[in-house]
Amino acid sequence: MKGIFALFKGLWITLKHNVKNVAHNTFTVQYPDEKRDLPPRARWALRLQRHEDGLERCIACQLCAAICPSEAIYIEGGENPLDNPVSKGERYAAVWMWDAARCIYCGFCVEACPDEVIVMSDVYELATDSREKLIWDKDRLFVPPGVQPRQAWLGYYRRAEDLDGKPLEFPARLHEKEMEYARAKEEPKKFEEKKEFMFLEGEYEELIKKENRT
Amino acid sequence: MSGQPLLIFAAKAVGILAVVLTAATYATWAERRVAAWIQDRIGPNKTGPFGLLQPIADVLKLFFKEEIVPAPVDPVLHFITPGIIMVGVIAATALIPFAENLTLADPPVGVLLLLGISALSGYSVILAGMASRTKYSLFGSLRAAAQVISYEIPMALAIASVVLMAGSLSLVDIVKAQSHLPFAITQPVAFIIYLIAVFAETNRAPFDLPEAESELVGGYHTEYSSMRFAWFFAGEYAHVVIASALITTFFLGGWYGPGPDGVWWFAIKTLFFVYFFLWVRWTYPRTRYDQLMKFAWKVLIPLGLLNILITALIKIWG
Ligand code: SF4
Ligand code: SF4
Repeated sequence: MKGIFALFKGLWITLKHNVKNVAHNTFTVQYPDEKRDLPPRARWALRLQRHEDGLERCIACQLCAAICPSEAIYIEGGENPLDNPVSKGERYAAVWMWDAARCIYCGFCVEACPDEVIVMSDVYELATDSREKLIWDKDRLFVPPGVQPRQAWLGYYRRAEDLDGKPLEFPARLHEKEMEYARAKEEPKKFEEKKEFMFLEGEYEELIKKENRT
Repeated sequence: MSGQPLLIFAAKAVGILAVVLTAATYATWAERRVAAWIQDRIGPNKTGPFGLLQPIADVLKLFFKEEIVPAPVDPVLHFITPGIIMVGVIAATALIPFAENLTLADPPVGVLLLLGISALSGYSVILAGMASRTKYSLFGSLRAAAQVISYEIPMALAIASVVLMAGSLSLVDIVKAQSHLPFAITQPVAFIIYLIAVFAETNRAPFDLPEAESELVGGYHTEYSSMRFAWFFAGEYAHVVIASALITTFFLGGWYGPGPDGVWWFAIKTLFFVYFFLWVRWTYPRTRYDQLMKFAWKVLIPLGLLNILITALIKIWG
């Protein structure tokens, strides 16, 4: 008898979910149309930064290429022409190539770079139809002059206020976002909201009650 | 046929077939949407409004897929079995009384004919596994053989009590006997037995052991691809639609309903049962094989026999 009752209870639960989702679905992100916000420390495609005056920040010191565990970075340095400088140092990167297929997105290159050149952006749609297109060259890696990447990860040990001189605009924004994220984590209310995704109304409370009893 | 002009009869036949096959095609769409809703997802919603063009896209895709016929199969059997399932389903369409004047054929032994035809789709499942000559397919058809035979009995018993009540083997007469009260109310036990047996008959979850994906890859249709697979697939959904129509005919009073009678009542009841099929599939887990057999032989068949006995006694003395 209990078993027969359980059969109907099962049907009732699935029917409730069915009706609820016809009206409104809370889970699904319709990916190509909607996109999720990435957490502020998301580490995706590398982007290379410029100074405010548009000069490239990279001085071709090769530290990033040296530390890269999967040898995804290839750099050829060049003598910086004094009359028409590309970077602010003696040398500049004549070739800067990054292989998105080899990269394991560890972020070591970001940590190693002495000049805050490399940041990891939120560009995660890296799929293409050939392996050649997965190798990014300088044109693609350097952000255009005057443009800031939407989101930039600067390594675990750097914060906006640690940057020497005038902080770049984007890390400040990043810092703000991180603080927001941290606040959200402390606020239990956010988790209350999350709870609603997982359970139907009342189901969660009942579950807790049951757990307390056993 | 009852003396209608041939042309009108042909037009009716084509119309009914078109409606049933369209319903079967859209049952695949409904299955995916309902499954998604029940699992808190959305389901196919990109192809056309509400994803309504999805079945058409699916058929086109299946058309252009490579047809792979494994080396060890029996080529003739492998070729004809997907057809058999459709032949059975389409032949059953002819017997269903959609409305008072919308029946293609009303032979006086309609119920017997129907039972024979529905056994045919069981054949196709059994033959498919034999023709494939691989172990998973063979296991699938072994299960199908036992399952179809076991569940045909309670099904026939349930129908037998309906036939006793109606006093006729003609489907139209059976519906007409329900003009006041549907048999679902006067014969609740037979109704429940039939409802359970029909799930086994159509190989639908929780009794979908012949194709149990998690243990048998795809069961009897493992070795089928492209359009041949599509025939099995379409056959399953057409079978669901036909089975729903038969439940409506036998137990819910066909075209009779509160308010004006007509084919719409038939459509509403049938669609409800199509939904019921999907709903049950996405609610219950698959039964174990011994549970399935035990349930048929130890519960459904004795219950069905008892039900016939009581119905007959009431008929005699009541
Ligand atoms: S993230 Fe890691 S693997 Fe990728 S380029 Fe930088 S150091 Fe190499
Ligand atoms: S570590 Fe930084 S400065 Fe050095 S080569 Fe790499 S990107 Fe350029």
